[in-house]
Amino acid sequence: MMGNHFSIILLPTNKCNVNCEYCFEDKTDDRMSLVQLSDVINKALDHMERANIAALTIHWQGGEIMTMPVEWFERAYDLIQNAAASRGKLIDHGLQSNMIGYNSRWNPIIERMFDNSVGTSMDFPNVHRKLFNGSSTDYTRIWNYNVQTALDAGIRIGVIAVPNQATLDTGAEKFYSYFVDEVGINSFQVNTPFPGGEQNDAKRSLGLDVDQLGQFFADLTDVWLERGYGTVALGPIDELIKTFTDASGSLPCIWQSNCADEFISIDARGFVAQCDCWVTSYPEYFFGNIYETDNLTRMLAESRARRKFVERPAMVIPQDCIECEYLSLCHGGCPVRTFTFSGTMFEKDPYCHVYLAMFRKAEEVAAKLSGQRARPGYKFIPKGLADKRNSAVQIDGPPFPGRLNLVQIERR
Amino acid sequence: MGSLVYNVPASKVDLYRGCDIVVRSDDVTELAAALLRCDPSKVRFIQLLATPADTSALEGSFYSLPLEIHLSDPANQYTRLYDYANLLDSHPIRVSLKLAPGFSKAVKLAVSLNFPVKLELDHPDAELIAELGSVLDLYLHRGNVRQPIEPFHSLLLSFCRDEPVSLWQIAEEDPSQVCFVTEGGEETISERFIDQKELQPIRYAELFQQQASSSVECSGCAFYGRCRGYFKWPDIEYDCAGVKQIFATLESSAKELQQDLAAFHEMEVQMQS
Repeated sequence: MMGNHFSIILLPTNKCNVNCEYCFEDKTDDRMSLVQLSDVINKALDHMERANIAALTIHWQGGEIMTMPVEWFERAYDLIQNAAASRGKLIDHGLQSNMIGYNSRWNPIIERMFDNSVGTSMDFPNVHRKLFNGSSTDYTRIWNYNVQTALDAGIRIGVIAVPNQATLDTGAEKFYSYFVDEVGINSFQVNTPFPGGEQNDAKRSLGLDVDQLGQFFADLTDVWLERGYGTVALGPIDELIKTFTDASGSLPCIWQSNCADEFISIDARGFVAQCDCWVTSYPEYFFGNIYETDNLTRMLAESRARRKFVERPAMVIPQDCIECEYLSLCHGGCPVRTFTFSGTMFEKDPYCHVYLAMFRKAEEVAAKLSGQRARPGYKFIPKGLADKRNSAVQIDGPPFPGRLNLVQIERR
Repeated sequence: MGSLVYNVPASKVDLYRGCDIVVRSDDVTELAAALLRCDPSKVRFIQLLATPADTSALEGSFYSLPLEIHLSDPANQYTRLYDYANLLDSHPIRVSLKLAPGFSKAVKLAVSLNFPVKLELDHPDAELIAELGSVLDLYLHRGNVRQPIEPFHSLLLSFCRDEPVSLWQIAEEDPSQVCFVTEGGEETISERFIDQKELQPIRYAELFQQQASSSVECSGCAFYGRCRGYFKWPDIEYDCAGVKQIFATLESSAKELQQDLAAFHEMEVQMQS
């Protein structure tokens, strides 16, 4: 059911320290205690043993993760690693924070537990990310300061950015320059927005013109190729190009064959659902409560809500995705994006046209880069011969920088 | 029983102890139970003849034992393949399927999920030949197809390397290598020969030769060396025009590939000198 690796998006707190207008999580003040965490980990390890899963990645987020005490994480890390070691399982960790509550006290645990890297989020221009006083300017100022402090401390920072209408109006050049030149980031990922959770005016404005958004991604690809190829990781574009080049790309969760095979999310109240949006905002899609079950495997197997996620590709693909030349890359896209725009998850992702534009662009770029490497004379390699290609025509791997452990989740 | 590989129903594995076997069933639990009675080193692969949603009996067990998922009604069964994507973590998987209208959807999804594919050609009519052509194009030219589609893959390699190969071998119907055991315990070549019970399997090799050599189409066919009359059995009147076009496309693609490789090597020599 889960393969030999799976992930948990773990929300030890549902509380947040900011007030972003477009957040898809409906927040509460709940926090997970270490006793509850121990319960979660033991049940996850039981599940891994039953399902013969060797490794687990925990993606820590909230709410806002840095509303929890540093000391809680120090004890949590020891607790988890000891439990995993006693069962012969591997657990690694990723951290996603808005960085508003960051200070240098976090540095030791970030290094010890999170491989000295943090994933954070920022948009350009920042329209929707706001403090509780309503200021997006103050939010950006604090975020910038804290990110610079973390970078100066040697922490690697990856950023998830969500385009808004102002992003499209400003254009890819300035967007790229902000993150790479101004902030000094060399790893960022651009996600598409969706109106999850309780509705408001900001969320109603999130739907962007798909042609304009597709063009933005194409322009951003060109800017990156000219200025950052080989030095800056730009997801998911760089991974798409790798995928088209030699199938080595690691694509985000929205394009996995079925996200239900890859991960679950657990929040501070113990609720289990498909991902962080579902677990915080859509009770009717909860798989159950981990505090109330003694068998996570059975809960996942018997959950009628989870069954819908498992069955989604089989329901969606015959509609028209089966005719798509990029079926292998997308598999109908993201359930939560579909659900929040369409009211059902049993349709293809509403960003289909954007994805098509990205795939075509990435394929075109990969062909161009591969052609340059393969030198004249190269024109035809039957793709079915990938594993039997003469080494003389193997395409050299492009010098992509390493990616940070950002959500959206990449398949291991 | 010699060195043949016997394709046996799960219910009959005890009768073929000591032989190399393929174990087949439409029931995952029955397959798993049969495997417990077998010498693992003698099991070439297991064949699942249905598409059940629950394959937990095979998940995480019989690690690395190859599994073939057979689709007898590919146009209607193909979406079930999503249920098996995670089995790739513990088993090499191949999808085999009958050529029936709409089969190309199953091929497309199978390769999209990184499953190798084996097509059971039998006697495709004009409609299926057209669909076969579209699948061949997918195999040859779509960059996201990374898995072999048989028999295209082996035939293309054979053309590329100028190496002999027989379609009977590729289809795993060569009576000198395989033997299909029916539910009733009778031995024949493959499922499509179940009705041909009057002769022992090994005798078919001679019959193929006789039948094919009596066919005017075979005697003048440029692809006979690789086909060896596959499409003339059991219907010697089968019109091979469509399948010959498939062979011709594979041959010309192989030539193109050879030329590209030669040009590349030539350039490498020039660059080194």
